[in-house]
Formats: sequence, structure tokens, C-alpha cells
Amino acid sequence: MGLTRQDVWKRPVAEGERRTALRGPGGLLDQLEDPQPQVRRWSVRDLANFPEATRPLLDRLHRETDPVVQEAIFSALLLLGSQQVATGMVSLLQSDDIGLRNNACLLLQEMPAFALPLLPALLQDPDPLIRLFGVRILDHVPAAAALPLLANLIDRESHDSVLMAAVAVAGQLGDATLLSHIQAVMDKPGVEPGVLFAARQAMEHLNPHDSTP
Amino acid sequence: MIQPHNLLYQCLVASVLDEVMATKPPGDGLRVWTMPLAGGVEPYLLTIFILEHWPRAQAVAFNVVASDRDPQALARAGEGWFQENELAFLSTDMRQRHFQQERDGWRASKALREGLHLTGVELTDPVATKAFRGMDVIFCQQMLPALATPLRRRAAGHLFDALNPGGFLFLHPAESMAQSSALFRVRHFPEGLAYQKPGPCCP
Repeated sequence: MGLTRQDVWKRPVAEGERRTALRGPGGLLDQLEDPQPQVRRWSVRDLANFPEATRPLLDRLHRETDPVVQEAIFSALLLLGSQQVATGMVSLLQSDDIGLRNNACLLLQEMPAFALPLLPALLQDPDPLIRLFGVRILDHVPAAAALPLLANLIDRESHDSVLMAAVAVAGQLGDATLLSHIQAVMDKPGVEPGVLFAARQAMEHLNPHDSTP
Repeated sequence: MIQPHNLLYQCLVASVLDEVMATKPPGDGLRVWTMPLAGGVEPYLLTIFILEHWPRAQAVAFNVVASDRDPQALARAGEGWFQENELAFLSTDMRQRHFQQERDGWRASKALREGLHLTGVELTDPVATKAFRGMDVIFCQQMLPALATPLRRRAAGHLFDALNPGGFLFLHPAESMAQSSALFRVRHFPEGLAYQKPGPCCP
């Protein structure tokens, strides 16, 4: 025995794996509901090539319990990459499932052009967790678009965690136009120590030779 | 040229292969998939390391499937002729056992050249990668980081699908699967780290 060209894999190929050519979307959508996770995963892989599958994939994501299939759906949606996908991800940010929320945020970070139009609403959401997601996504959009949104958020944000995150992003962006906004945070009476620390860090990034203590 | 990673190969033969074989039915062979070809020499070095250092290498039938998207690398691997510095990983004895000196280089033995299964494939191609199934071990070095995130996630999914449950994926030591897929279990061995596809043997 030892090294051989003869195929040593003797297991039968499952029906769902037998095809080698790309299949059309018709039967694939039916297979999204198959009881076997592997069959659903294979159908998702093929559906990633059909933009018309975006809505069914988004709908399936809300019901899918198998993590292997979930990941395939997220990957497929990222490949499909559209405003419809981004809007679908925003709805998942409010899911009770932490994994779905975090993956939705990650996908939005990877599609900044489609996420940008949705950011103003996210950053004004009454839920601070949604606003926090918005800041994490804002960190991935072009700086020119992020600056006004970030400045506006820093000026009016009342939740300490969101404000800390926004100030940190401001420091990373490194644009001096944000200096006055961060200084205003530091000058507020009763500013939370964590926020103050984050603001000082950001000031050092923005103005390394003259950060106000 | 990708330098062979002695520790990865040591991890393979010292820790991984026996664990893989323990989960397989009697008589089932071993399938190893390696990519890219790194100028053609990588699959030879991997195969020789298995033959020389795995005590069960002659008792178990095993396939080595080696793939690349570059036709020139495939052609070079098929010829099996390399300069001595490309074989520096091998001891003199190993080189002489598996290669024959030819001109100012070395040609791999006929058994090696004909034993390797060389094939072209684009790792991000969802149709082409469906032919790669039932793998027990995959080496995929310095390919995923070169891909944009959507394609990198897709490629990681193809690697996951190519592996048998319980199978292992080796990346370059400087790489991590963290940004590509959350489906693999990270396994730490004395010699190094590998990513395992969960299965009945290892949920």
C-alpha cells in the first residue's frame, strides 16, 4: 500500500452532493427547507449565484438553527452583496440570537457602500445596542462619509458605552475637525471616567502634541 | 516559494494521522489535499515526509491530491524535476531515496511522480470544488489571506465541505481561520495548531 493514485475514498456520495454542475434556483429553493442540514447547506452554496435568491436566503436566516447552514447563508449573502442584503442585516441586528446579531454586524462592516445609507437611522435608534452596532459599522465606511455622522453622534449621545465607542472611532479616524466635538465631551460636567479616558486617548491621536488634560 | 513547515508536517505524522485513522472504518484509506504547489515541490516534500516519518505509511493506502490554479506550477510538479536548494528540507539520504540526480538537479522517482494526483482548481469556484470531497487532511497555505472577505469566506466553506467530519485543515502558522469561518474547532498539538471539522467523533 502507501502512496497510490487509486481513489481510496469508498464512501457513497450523498444525493445532495452528487451534482457537479451549477443548478438553477428552482429546486434549490425547495431544498432550503430540507430536513437535512447538509442538503440545505449545498443548496445555499449554489443559491449564492442567483440574486433572486436574496429574499429567500434572508427569510431562511431568521429560521435556520444549524450553525453550519447559518454560516453558509451569511457567506452567500455577502457574495450577493446588495442594498437588499444590507437592509436584511439591519433587521437581524435586533435578533434575540447573539450570533445572528454579531454576524449581521460583521456583514454590514464588509459592505460599507450598502451600509452607509442605513447608518443615520441606526445611529438615531432608541436602542443603545443598535446605536453601538452603528458605530462599529461606521468604523468601516469611508472617512469622508463617516465624519459628519460621527460628529453628530458625539454631540448628542447620552449612553456612555455608545459615546466611548464613538470617541474611540473618532480618534482612529484622526481628523482634526473632530477635536472640538471631543473637547466638548471632556468639558461636560459629570462626564463618566471611562468616557473621559476614551476622549483623552482620542485627543492624543488627533493632536498628539497638545492634548488638553 | 512557500517554505515547507517542518512543524506542520511533524504535527501531521506525530499527532493527526493516527487520530484520523482511528475514526475510519477498517480498510478505508487516507486522503490528503495540499495547495498551492509552491513552484511544484510542496506535494513531494509532504508525501516524502509521510512516507519517511509515519510508521503506518506502508500499511495504509493514501492519496495525495495536489492542486493549484497556475498551469505552470502544475506542469512543473508533473515533471518532478527540482534544483537541490528546493530539496534542502530533505536529508541527503531521503533525497537519494526518492530522487535521482539529473543534469544539475534532481528528478523525483517514478513512483512519486505517478503517485501524486495533480489537478488544477480555483478554490473559490463553487462548481470545481465540489469534486474535492472526502478529504481527511488539507494543507492550504497562504491562499486565504490573499482573498477579499466574501471570497475568503466562500473558499473556507469549500475547505470545510471538502473535509470528512473529524478531518483536519492546516494553514500557514502565521494565518488564522478566525476571519474566514467559525465552523472549525481549533486543536492545539505539541507541534502546532490545526483546524478540525466537527463530527460524530469530535463534536
